Amino acid sequence: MKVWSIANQKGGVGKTTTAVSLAGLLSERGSRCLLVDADPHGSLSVYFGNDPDTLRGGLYQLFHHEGEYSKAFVKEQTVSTQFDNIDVLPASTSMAALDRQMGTKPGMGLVFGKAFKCLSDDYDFILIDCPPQLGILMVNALAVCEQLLVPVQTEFLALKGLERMVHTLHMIMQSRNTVLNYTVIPTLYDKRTKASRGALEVLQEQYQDNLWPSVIPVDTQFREASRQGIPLSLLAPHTRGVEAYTRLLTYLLGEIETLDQVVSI
Amino acid sequence: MSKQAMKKDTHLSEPQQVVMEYLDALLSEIEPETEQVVAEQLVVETEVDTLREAREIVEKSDVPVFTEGEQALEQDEFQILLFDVSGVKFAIPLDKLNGILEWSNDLTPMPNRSDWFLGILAERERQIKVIDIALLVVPSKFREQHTQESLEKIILIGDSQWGMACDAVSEVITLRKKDVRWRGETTKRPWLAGTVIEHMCALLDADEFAAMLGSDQLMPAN
Repeated sequence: MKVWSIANQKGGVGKTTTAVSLAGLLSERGSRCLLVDADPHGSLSVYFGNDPDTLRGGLYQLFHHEGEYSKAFVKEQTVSTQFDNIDVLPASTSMAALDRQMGTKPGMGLVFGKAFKCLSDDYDFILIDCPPQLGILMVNALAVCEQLLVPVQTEFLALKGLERMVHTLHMIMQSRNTVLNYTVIPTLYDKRTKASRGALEVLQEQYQDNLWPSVIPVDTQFREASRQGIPLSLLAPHTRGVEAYTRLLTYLLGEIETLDQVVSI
Repeated sequence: MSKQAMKKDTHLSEPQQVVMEYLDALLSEIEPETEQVVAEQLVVETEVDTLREAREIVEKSDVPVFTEGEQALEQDEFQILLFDVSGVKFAIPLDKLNGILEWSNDLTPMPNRSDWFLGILAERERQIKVIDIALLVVPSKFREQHTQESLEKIILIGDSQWGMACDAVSEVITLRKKDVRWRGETTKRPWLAGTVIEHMCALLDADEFAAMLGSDQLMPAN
């Protein structure tokens, strides 16, 4: 089971779109995916028809039953979607109070890790949609993942958010005494605008070692897909956006595929 | 005291320090750990810290690091050493590892041997047969850039009879059996025990590999 977190301390950069799009593509390949909505706003939960204001189970419950989780308990907090191979661990509005409730209680940054261990036989991928601010949920997501995906809107102000995100990441690595791979994903790219082209150049200069060498273009079909609550690859597989996310997934899985080729010849 | 003076006396911690303390608290383990787990972590941390330390542990003992390897397997956990061969990551169970040596140019070539047989290395009264593992296990299309100049370490297996020359040795990690995608017995590559997707590596069956090396059955990978 692989755990990828999708994070940026700036909102509106395409975190939820990235999580849903990758889950859609992975599910078509036969991989079992759990989408975790770690943002109290609950956009990901709403995408799949769950209302964060009325939800009783979900991610919030993991924090209030912290300790030795049973597989049944953790599974109980997930909900199925109408799509094969995609389940959701939904958010609830009450998650916004977690930092206030939990404060700096020791070990509360490791809740995801303990809970997800129970699901290692049930899913091939867990994708975590992170909140746009540093707090207990973000810390959990960064502590548990093997790969961090950082979508960055290709516009100047978003670059500052990326700087902050990378700084946070370094502090987490320092605290955990570990190294975490991250991949910067340029999103909402509009080649007609100078702002997009300029921001991409800055990313290429400053993050060349961690930059995915392509872009996710602006595509109005993403909005339509979210309105219908369907991953875009399942709604309109031949759109520019889906092609871009397919390239991204191939890139992210590249190492695995290389390994498979080595051992399967 | 005036409000102005109170303001001046107020001392805030450095923002960076505050955030680090916050992270350290959230990420600290709180469960009491068994002595065994602590011991295992110490072994891992010590060995991960520096490769030199790992090598010293291996060489000092000159026997498998896990003298109770069987017991470790029964407990469902075992340790592996990751190493790089021509851009591909491989791993070997620690209890099958006899030592790690620095690459040496003092190899004595042997006539009429395959390309992958690099020569004999005399070390501590041992005659180690050094092989270029890349030529045997990495398909040719992945080793176009491979040269002997990139070889830096020699991993000893098969009671130190064999030394696998590789580009680098990285770290020791602990796995559970279920972390490995085990290969069936009918595989075309008996030396491949399985793959560890989480670490993107191929796990070698050291005994099988050493046996195949001894039988001289191995052909370069295509």
